[in-house]
Amino acid sequence: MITKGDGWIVNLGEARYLQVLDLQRNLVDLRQKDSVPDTLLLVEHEPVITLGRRASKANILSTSAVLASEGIQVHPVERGGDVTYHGPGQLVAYPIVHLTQRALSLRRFVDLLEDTITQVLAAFGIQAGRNPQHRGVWVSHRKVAALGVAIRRWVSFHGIALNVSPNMDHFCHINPCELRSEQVTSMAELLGKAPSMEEVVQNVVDRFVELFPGKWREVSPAKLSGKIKAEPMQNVAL
Amino acid sequence: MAKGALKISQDHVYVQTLDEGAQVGISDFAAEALGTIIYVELPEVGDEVRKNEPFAAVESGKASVELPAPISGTVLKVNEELEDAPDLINQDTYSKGWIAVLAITDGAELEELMSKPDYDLFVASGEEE
Repeated sequence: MITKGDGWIVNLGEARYLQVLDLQRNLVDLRQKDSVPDTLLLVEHEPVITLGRRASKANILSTSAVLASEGIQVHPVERGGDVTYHGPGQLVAYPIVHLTQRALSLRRFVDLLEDTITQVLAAFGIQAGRNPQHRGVWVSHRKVAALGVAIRRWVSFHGIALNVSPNMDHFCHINPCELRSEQVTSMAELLGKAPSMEEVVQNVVDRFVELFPGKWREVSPAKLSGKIKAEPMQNVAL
Repeated sequence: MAKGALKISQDHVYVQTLDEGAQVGISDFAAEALGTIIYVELPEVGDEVRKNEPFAAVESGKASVELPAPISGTVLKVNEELEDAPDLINQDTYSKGWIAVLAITDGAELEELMSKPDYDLFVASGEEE
């Protein structure tokens, strides 16, 4: 029996975008049936470009041949927002949260996700905040974390992607969410050196658990697969 | 065109029966809760939709929200005005903000939905399940 406020935190490490997308959809389905508690997935993906529902292909600047030569795949997905990039050195958080069970409005939920990242950045000495025109987390006029969520029967999926120390050149393949690529930054750029991913992950977990109160506990990817009777996630070298 | 009774699902999607088919869209409460809608993904004419399965999606503030169909049916018409003016849903969801017209497969499914006064009580109580 799942009770209100229970939750699983699963650090997937490095995992393929499409495999994690399947896992998210599976978890959303199970969450709707109360078969699993709220779950936070944390992951780094291989280089990939995803298109939100209203994405314009014009915001992908490189030709498909160039992207293919760099091994970057393009996937249309059901989240909100336009074009985004994921890749190694970027920490992606996917909260599978039942909004009505937590009495969260959509707006409040999105605000809390942004607050989670803003507080993580503050712990690293980076002063970040909102931008009145655009979602995501910003340091002055540059975006450090991109947000795009989807809601299926009041359960959230997709989420927020924090640029810890990704290859910033990869952002030149897109206009991230209608912005120019030079308007994107990373913690490594802001700090002058890359912080430890492990430390960032721990900070994200700590802040998330404070902002989404409940009995959260860490579950290994193997345990998660066992609990939901799914194929184990394959760890990939990115 | 004469309109029949307004019925609303627990997922905040309404059905407004017409002489032929029924308009579906999101409730005033849902429109308010979502904030300004910036994009609507419409179904296509001829699509078969099944009760409780997503038939359209609306987007506000970087969140895309799938809309579970309140009834089963075939899409007869879609509101193309929403492509240029998605916020018609915020302005007047029950008239200009309809999303699609469905030919209802099973009229008995309408009985499982709430009347507008019952729905208003349902949202006021804050208990959705």
